[in-house]
Amino acid sequence: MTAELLIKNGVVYDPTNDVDGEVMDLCIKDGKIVDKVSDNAKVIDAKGRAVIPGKVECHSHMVGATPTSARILRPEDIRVRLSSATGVRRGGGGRTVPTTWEVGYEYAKLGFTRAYEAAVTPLYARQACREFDRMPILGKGIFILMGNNWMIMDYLTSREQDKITAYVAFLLRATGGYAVKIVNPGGNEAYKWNTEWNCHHADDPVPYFGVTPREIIKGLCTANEELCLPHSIHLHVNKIGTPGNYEVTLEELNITKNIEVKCDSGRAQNTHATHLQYHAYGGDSWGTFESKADEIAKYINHHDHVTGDSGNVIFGDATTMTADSPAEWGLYKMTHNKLITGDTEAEDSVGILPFLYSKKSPVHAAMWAIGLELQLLTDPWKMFVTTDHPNGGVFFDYPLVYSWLMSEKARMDIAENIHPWALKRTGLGGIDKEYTFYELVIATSAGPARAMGVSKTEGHLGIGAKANIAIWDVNPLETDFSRDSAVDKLSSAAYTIKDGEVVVKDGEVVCAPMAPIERVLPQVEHDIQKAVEEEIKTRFKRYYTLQFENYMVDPELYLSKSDRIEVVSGKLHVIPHEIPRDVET
Amino acid sequence: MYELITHEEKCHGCGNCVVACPVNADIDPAVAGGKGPETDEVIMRVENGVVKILNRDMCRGCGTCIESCPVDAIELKVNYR
Ligand code: SF4
Ligand code: SF4
Ligand SMILES: [Zn+2]
Ligand SMILES: [Zn+2]
Repeated sequence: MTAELLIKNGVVYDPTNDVDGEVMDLCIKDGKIVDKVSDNAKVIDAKGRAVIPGKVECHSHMVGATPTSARILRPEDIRVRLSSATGVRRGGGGRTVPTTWEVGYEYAKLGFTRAYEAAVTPLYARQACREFDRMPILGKGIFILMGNNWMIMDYLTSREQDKITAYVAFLLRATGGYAVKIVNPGGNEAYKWNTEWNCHHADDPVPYFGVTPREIIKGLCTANEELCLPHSIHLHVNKIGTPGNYEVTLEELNITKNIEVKCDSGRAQNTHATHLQYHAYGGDSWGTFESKADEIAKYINHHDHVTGDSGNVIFGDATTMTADSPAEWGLYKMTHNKLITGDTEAEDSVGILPFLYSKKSPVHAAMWAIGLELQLLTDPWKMFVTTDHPNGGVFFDYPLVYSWLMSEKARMDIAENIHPWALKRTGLGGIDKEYTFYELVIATSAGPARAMGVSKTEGHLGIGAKANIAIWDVNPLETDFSRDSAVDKLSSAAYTIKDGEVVVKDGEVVCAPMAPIERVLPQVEHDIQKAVEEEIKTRFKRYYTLQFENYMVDPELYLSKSDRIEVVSGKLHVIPHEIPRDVET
Repeated sequence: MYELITHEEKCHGCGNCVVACPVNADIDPAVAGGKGPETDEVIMRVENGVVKILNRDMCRGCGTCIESCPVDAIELKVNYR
């Protein structure tokens, strides 16, 4: 079967190829963009409609043990939003912690064709793989938490970088992971010994291990580059959500400055710093709390080794969930909301707590403004729109963020009606920049695709790219987004196309194919790999409640629908889970 | 001097004493991780559902196993001289 599609006369936005609102046709054959199709191709009339590459969610919490525990912690969440089964969709619901299938449908309605799960401990990778196997439409990958891992800290103590690299490779292979995630390096381990302990800056040693966050970040970034992984390290720096933390953020971003990027995936950064809104605070107490988004933006604009995402706050109900359990413990002491705080053996920790962002709260109002400030002041190729779903807000509400970025009026309407700190303690009031539609496409699609290491085939619309496309019922050439709200125009896609197949039409899911999980299989030299595996086995007996043999995620059982990315002498080779059928024979 | 003795008729084989014993944990990493020993070089282990002392003379008399036994099936006898 040869599926051909012709998208006619669309207003195309393809920043990677410098196409800024040109009226042109796109031809699709066998899931890819090609230069021409036959007369039999199905035609989509896109006249007067914006055509963009499918959006890429670079940081979201949707599958694995944490969202699953959050669903149990918040049975009320599914009551606020229920959706019934249709001929295509399964029934489901939930808002801050939607059911697995819902996540796929709803992201697709917003024009997303790819999303990454941002925090999974190796021990619970099975759960994440199983859920991803049941998340339709989206391409996907899992970030594996490594920033508080005992083996890594042990190897740092003995200064055996080659073993850290080999162990990182082992962990990714063992779990079906896509990237290395670091959350509050060392601090979560400190918290597990004493709830009042943490690592407060880059050189604050981890109790009982003696290594510092600086060494953890450097060691893992070095390993990441030695293994030539498609994505860089994905870093949640220390001191989240505390006044004055911007100095720690800048200090930690600077750690990897001189580590060379060794990867042919198209990324330029060696560190992606996530939800930076929560890490851009000045002052020395909540009383003197203020924005330092300008400092963070300035740093990133001037340094090519870092990309970031915003972590915007949206007023209303959220569910905070992070491996940064000391931060959750802090929120618990503040709110006394229900809390899950957990210890994942020798690997990391977890915290979950429902949270309400209030317009009347001075700090929340300022946080809202800081997220926007950060996004508006930073190069969109280096700063991507996220809400750290569901920490700062839910992904359903992305169109609100788009509208605030694209219209000064829209954001000032909010700023003037919330606590005055939104304008008094931040620089938002002085920013007249408004995102163009082109810039929005950079910050939601082309930019994150590049940083995630998939830009060869995604996040653009050039010949050979995967046909992942979103079409909107709006012509940006004739629309003034500074007056006409982007919320109305960008809340549901006219079409979302995944691998050449129409999955959303007129804002409804019409087809829900399952896309594979992508996992990397990095290699290190045989001898060192063997040595490390032997050492791990012994430590396993001592540190873990389960046996080594049961630790590895069985690829047959859990990852049968996965694309394998092999890294052979620095080059990435994607091995699809199914050999595409040969159309000629 | 002290002497480790067991009352096999009371023991229900839970293995608490085996994993609680610091000497065992030091010898065998599997015990430290809360699992059954993989060597005979430990003080005691559970065999056929009953505690069995293998190396009585390695006991250092700390009493941890006695604390951990729910049915008083293990005992540290102190011989005053
Ligand atoms: S007394 Fe202490 S050293 Fe002796 S067997 Fe019991 S736990 Fe082990
Ligand atoms: S002696 Fe007590 S603690 Fe040891 S296995 Fe028997 S019942 Fe359990
Ligand atoms: Zn985080
Ligand atoms: Zn996150």
